[in-house]
Amino acid sequence: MRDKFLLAFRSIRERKARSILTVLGIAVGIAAIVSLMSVGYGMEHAITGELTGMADMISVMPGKITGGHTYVEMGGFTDRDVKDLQRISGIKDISAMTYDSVEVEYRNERKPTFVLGGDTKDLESFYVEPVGLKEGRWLRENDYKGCVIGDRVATDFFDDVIHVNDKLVLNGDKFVVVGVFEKGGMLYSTDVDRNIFLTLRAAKNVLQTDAIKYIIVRVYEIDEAEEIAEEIEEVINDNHGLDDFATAMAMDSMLEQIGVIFNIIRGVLAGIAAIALVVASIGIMNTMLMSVMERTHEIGVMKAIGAKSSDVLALFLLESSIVSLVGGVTGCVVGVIVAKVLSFLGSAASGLEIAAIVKPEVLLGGIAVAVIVGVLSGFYPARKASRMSPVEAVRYG
Amino acid sequence: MKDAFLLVYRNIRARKTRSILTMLGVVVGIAAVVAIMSISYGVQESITEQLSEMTDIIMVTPGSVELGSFGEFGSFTERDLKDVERISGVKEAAALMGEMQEVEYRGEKVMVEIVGIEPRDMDAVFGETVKLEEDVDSETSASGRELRDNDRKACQIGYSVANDYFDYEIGVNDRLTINGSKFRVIGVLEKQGGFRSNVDAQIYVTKRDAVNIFDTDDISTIFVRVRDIGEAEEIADEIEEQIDDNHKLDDFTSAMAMGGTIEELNSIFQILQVFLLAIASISLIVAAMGIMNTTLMSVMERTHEIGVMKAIGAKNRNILFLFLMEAGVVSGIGGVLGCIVGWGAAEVISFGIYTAFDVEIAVVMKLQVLLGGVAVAVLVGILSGFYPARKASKLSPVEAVRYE
Repeated sequence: MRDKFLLAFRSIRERKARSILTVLGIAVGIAAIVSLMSVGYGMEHAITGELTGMADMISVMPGKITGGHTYVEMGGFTDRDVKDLQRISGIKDISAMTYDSVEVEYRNERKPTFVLGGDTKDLESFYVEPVGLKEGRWLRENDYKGCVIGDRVATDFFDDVIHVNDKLVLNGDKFVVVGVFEKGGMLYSTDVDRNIFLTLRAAKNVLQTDAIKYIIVRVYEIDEAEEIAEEIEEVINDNHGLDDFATAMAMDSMLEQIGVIFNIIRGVLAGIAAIALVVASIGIMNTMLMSVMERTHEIGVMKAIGAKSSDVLALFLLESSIVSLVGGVTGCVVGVIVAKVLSFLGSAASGLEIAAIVKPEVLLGGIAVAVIVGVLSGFYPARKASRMSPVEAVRYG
Repeated sequence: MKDAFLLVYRNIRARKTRSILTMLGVVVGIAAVVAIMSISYGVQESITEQLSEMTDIIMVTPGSVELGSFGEFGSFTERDLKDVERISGVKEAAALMGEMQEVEYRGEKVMVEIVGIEPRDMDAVFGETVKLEEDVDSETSASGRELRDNDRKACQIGYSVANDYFDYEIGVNDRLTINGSKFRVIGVLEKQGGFRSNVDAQIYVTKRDAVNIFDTDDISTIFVRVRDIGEAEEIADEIEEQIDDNHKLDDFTSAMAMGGTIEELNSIFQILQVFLLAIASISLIVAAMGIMNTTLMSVMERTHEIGVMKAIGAKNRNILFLFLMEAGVVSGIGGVLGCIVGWGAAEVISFGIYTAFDVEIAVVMKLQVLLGGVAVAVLVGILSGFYPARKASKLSPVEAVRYE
């Protein structure tokens, strides 16, 4: 066995340029796959990462999503709905919020925007923790005349930028700005940037309604979230005597859906990149065939002095798998570097923090695929070599 | 020149397996590029086809339309509509009233969006893409008819409303109860899907009926078609200004020229196309390495031959040309075959997508893609053949002849 290694190693070294080119082919293919996978995982994490802490949440909205993407609001929930939800087993915590459009006045300019009111502690954990405030502080339970505004409300909406302690008029009531949100990322921009956050009581006053537009439920067991979401829809639909009135979305199943989509994207990308591997395997076969041809005489001698067909087969398979193993390892290293560069460029271009995630299973898989490709494409030439008749082979060359 | 060709041809034939394998590498690479290009052109075409009918449209809605935002800011008045009609360059302006209402059919209640519209404005809104569903029983006539001005308590329903919303399928002449009053279905619309999928989920009634059901004559959307698409952006700005003025609010109105949106969509699509293409061309790089490898070996094996050629008077550039030619011919043939295989692969993929997802994506084979594919293949061959060819041409004749 040791001899075979030495022999294979020597013949690879002897044909340096050829071996390097073959290794490079494999390396490029593996690098493409590894880097695309890593960037893909990084993107998925950038999108779902902040959400995984919320996997126990179910958001309930009075409306439905039609035509695949547009949300149509169909009214509001009542206090009775909230009471009925409390009766469903498995629910840890319920937070009711109200939400509607409102006219904001600032220094005699008037703009339409949205008001979101709810339990201050709940809102804090949903929005303040992930997004953060750039000025001031968050609302307290008794801040009936205070508000916290989103980044776009503060900077974009009015001619003058709004800061902490400025006063806004919402539907005729005066409020003091106590805090300003940071710009929300991709996930939070629609929820935070253009909204004004109030305490639930203040929001009900401003909007002059008791209707609840948004309920967030936390469950004890994430596994049950899906069932509980269905139960919630049923209970509320029953209350209102309508089919399809409430939409309850379990975060966990949303996360799963995102995961499925990303798996498909990664699969397609890796599939396209794998075409390069096919080409590389053709390259290996070519090199090995040539190697066999050149060494026909040598094979004949080996057989003449007692090498079995299986020895010759093993020798050539070993050679092709060493070449592809080296290619696989090099490919992984290059792939990781390329992934880091890509994610850096991607973050710079999109403003979204994407960190490439290098999973050990991707690296190991890459190396394994490389070796398998090497063995498979080396098989035909190796078999050809092992089947040679020693007499004719010795005469050759 | 003819001699050179013959020599190249003989050499390629002499090393058949090797040439075929090298060629195969190029074939796979070019096929991947060609297949991806033609599929993505197909996707692009099917999108723009759906949208081309909409380029002259401006949608005017209260409040800014942004992805994921919901809730509305008030509505428009008759005065707004009149003012919009008066703006120069506006061909047609149609008012739509939309609201979610409870619809009852055979004891089942569902919330559906009801849209009120003047029947004469329907053509402006629907254009030529939204038609009545074809009746399966009598092939010629459509299912039902269009709304007319003097229709009362009559409605046209979208495809999903007819087929998916209720346990029972709804057909022409069935009766629905909308917010307490009875309506007769006079037409069922053809399935739209895609960018007009909202039409599938709506019920259309005359404006007069809508005023009765909603108990208000507020307008929720104004639908504008312009004469000259080039002016659409300016007209949209003018519309916003005019209505904001009427309501004394800044940013009350958002007027969206669809032409701009379609262009944006196209540019996103082009980025995606370039990205996929870049990944596919990685295999071309690998194929290039294969070509270099084969040519290097070919040079090595023929060192003696090169020496003889030089000894009997072949110049350096003759040798260079010979080997470049060899690489170019192998990759050129690979390119042509790759285009054919790529075309086939594209057809197979599009068929696969059709059977798996029921989405029809026609393969769009552009001549420039095919020519480009062959050109790229030849280019790759010549570039990767250059180093070995140069090496061959620089051999010293004396040493080369001695080599065995």
